[in-house]
Amino acid sequence: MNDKLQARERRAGPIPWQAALPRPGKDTLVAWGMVLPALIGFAIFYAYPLLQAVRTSFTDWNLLSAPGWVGWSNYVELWQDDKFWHALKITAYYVLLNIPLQTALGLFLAAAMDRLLRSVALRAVVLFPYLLSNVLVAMIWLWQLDPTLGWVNHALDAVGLSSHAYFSDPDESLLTIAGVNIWRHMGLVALLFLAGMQSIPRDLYEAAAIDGASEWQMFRRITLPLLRPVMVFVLVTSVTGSLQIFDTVAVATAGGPAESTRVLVYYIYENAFSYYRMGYASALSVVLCLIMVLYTFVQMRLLNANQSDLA
Amino acid sequence: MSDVVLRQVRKAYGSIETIHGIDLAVESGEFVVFVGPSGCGKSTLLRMIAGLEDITSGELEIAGVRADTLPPARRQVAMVFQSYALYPHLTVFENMAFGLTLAGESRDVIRDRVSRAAQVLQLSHLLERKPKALSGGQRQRVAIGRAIVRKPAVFLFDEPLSNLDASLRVQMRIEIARLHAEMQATMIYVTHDQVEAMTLADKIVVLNKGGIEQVGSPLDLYHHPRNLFVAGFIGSPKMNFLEGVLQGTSGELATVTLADGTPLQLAIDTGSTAPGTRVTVGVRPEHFVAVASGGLAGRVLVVEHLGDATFAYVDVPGRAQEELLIVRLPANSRTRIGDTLHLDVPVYGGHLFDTDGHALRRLVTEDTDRAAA
Repeated sequence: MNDKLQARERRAGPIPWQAALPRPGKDTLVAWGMVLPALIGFAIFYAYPLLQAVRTSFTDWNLLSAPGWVGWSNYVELWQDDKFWHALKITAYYVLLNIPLQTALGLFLAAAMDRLLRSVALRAVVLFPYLLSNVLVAMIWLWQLDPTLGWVNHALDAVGLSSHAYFSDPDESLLTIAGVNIWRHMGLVALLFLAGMQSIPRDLYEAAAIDGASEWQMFRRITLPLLRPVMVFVLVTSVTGSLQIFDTVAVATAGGPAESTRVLVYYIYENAFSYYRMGYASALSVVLCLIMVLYTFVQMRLLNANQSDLA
Repeated sequence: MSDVVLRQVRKAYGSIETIHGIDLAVESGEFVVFVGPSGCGKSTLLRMIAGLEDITSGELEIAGVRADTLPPARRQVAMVFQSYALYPHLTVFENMAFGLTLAGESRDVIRDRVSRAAQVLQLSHLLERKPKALSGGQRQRVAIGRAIVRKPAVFLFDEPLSNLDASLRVQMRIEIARLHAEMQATMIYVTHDQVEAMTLADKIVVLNKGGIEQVGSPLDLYHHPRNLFVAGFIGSPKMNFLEGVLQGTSGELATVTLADGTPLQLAIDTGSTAPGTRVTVGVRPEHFVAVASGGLAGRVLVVEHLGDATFAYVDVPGRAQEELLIVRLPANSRTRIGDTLHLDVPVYGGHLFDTDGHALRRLVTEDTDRAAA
């Protein structure tokens, strides 16, 4: 087959697909052509709504009448709004509860899957909660943790431990929501870490074993430092995701009890769709967006996210 | 005293055995090279000694201590990997100090040992660099340095030079030989490159299909290969093989007729091999002698001028096209493609293998023959 092809090529000169290959000058156009579909989607579904939100944040739009320009007044109000600061505090508290535990458990699971249990079935099980929707997860846990009907309290009673109110107790509600989200996202975090761990050459661990390193020392001195780019990715995505926590709160607690779970996005939702204050809600959204951009920038700069020691 | 002893060491993955009962003793201070084709088990055997692969059955002793169940760190070995296996996030100093730090050595001891090793390996000016800022040769020296600072009983090298370019490989080979001479350390070195094996080894272990084919000094293996495999594997270019029939023995000379009818006389003890037995004649490229007429005649298809020698690839009738004879000719040879070469084999130049591929005992080597001349 190859001989025939080569013979034909000798007779007829370059075959068409070779002739059709772009000259170096066309590379840029081809590249733009390939990026364009994604770029259009980004412009329509991300950039335009973002710009609209910024514009709306300077108006008093209430969904019913035409928006009127109010300048910086939404931002001034926000600065003086105790509920905003409370929501921000609750959100920050949620992030602090959620991220360290989720990251630590994800790392532990990934290390176990990488070094001890290389089972595809286990990976599937670990990832399974992430495949469920947030609303469904919230419903499942709402029932399981129901103070009177849920099996968790029954189980605690059975072993002589005191039962809890979980979502209904202001002291436990945020912790419970964090727990539910850790349960849902831990598998994904673990798989991301696992992918990072599997890109670390095995012979580094072998060299370390000969050098006398224990499993823990290998993890601390080899795995963790070499996971830095993945760690940055996980932290940036999980922190920004946590800052936007909404579904679980909306389904399980609706911001209560006693505002103990009124996180920032839920407060934005209330302003937009309960009080019809789209302008103020947009201003809150812009501030949240700026917080996330600032966090991402600082995180990536601090951890040199674009440099890998493995490269 | 033997630093490493293997007794009936086996390795099996499930029901598939890949290392079949290896018995081997590596003496203290000896440089032993495991050599063999890809997949022969040489790296597996080395990793079993290192503790990176479990030993399915058999015994391993290192420095007088039963070691087959010990973890790698307690086997008193240090290993240099093919890929260097340097910790990419650590500096050269930290890489070399890694094992000592884990062992809880004091800072002074660590600094002293790393500095000394760095001096020996000419790495002193690179100690603050990270591996990615080093060349391949420098990385390999760091890997060797990491092994040296631990002062192990046995150094293990797993194809350490195969990622380097040709000139650097020669340079590093010389450095490793120099290190061995200076340190008088026990070293086990895996390679598929027989030039490395021949130049570095005190003792070569030729492996094939998970078993040992032959153990011996480089020249012993070269002049007295035990079988067709070793004969074909040791030597570059490789030994030529010709089919023939043993005609008989007269005194110390065996007479063999080649497939094209050419008679050869070789100084070989044929033992109990009966006349009329089909045999294989082995002739190294440098042992052919070009003569004006007679002998084994063939047409030259390719000529390679290497400067210090010329190699001619000769098509001998009755042999498959891909089995060209390789003949070493003098550097100034005027042999051209298309010429007909007449080749003779001196009595000291041939090897003889029986139908099972086992070598019949050669009575002379080139050296003894020359001495006698």
